[in-house]
Amino acid sequence: MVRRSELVAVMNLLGLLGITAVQVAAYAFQFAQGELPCPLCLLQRVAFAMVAFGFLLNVTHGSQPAHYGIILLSALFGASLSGRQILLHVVPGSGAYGSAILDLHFYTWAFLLFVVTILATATLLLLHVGEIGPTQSTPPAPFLSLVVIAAIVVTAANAVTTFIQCGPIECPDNPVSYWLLNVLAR
Amino acid sequence: MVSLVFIVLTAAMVLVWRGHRSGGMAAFALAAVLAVVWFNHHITDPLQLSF
Repeated sequence: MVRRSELVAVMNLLGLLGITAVQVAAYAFQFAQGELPCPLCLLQRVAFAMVAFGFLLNVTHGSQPAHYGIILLSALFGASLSGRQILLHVVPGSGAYGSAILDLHFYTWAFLLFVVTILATATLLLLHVGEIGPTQSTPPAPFLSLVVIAAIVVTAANAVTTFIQCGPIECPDNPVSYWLLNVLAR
Repeated sequence: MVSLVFIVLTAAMVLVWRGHRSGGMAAFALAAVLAVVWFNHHITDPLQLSF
């Protein structure tokens, strides 16, 4: 029978894997469809990386209240960002940013995913009844190491591609080209 | 410069992964402040809502 603490550890690892997969999917759509992320879209990616950081803390240092706090605050930050972008386009005729997947735009999907993250974290906290507190770090199993490295690589890749797109300046509201490529082409 | 937020977050993750939890938390706090500053900067446009 699976112990509750083991179930929590697995769910945290799956949380980190899921958030990393979302960021990889965002990349796939960016390069496959040639759509550059807007400033609010980039900040939503930041919020996903912040959520990933909370899960990463849980899988490497054990579940702790502060780690769950980071996940919840980051997901609320992301929901605020994506909710703000939904409001920008909610009025009929006000247009939308980017293409839609299953009739929902990326920022709407992001909002739903941040809400799901909050619900999943609340469920994880319920599983901790009577035992939450610093726990022993789990040994770095190969799969765990792979997921953690993937999360770090995706975040680092975002740093590189965001710099290529925006450079050391503010990102344009409706980006149509990469800043660094324009500089090199001059 | 949003890429700076990602750079700091990457550093935070690496620090935590290498066992420096408090250093990672400090880097995360810096990244969170930078992200909120950028959020505040990008939400100044008025919403075209009417009820």
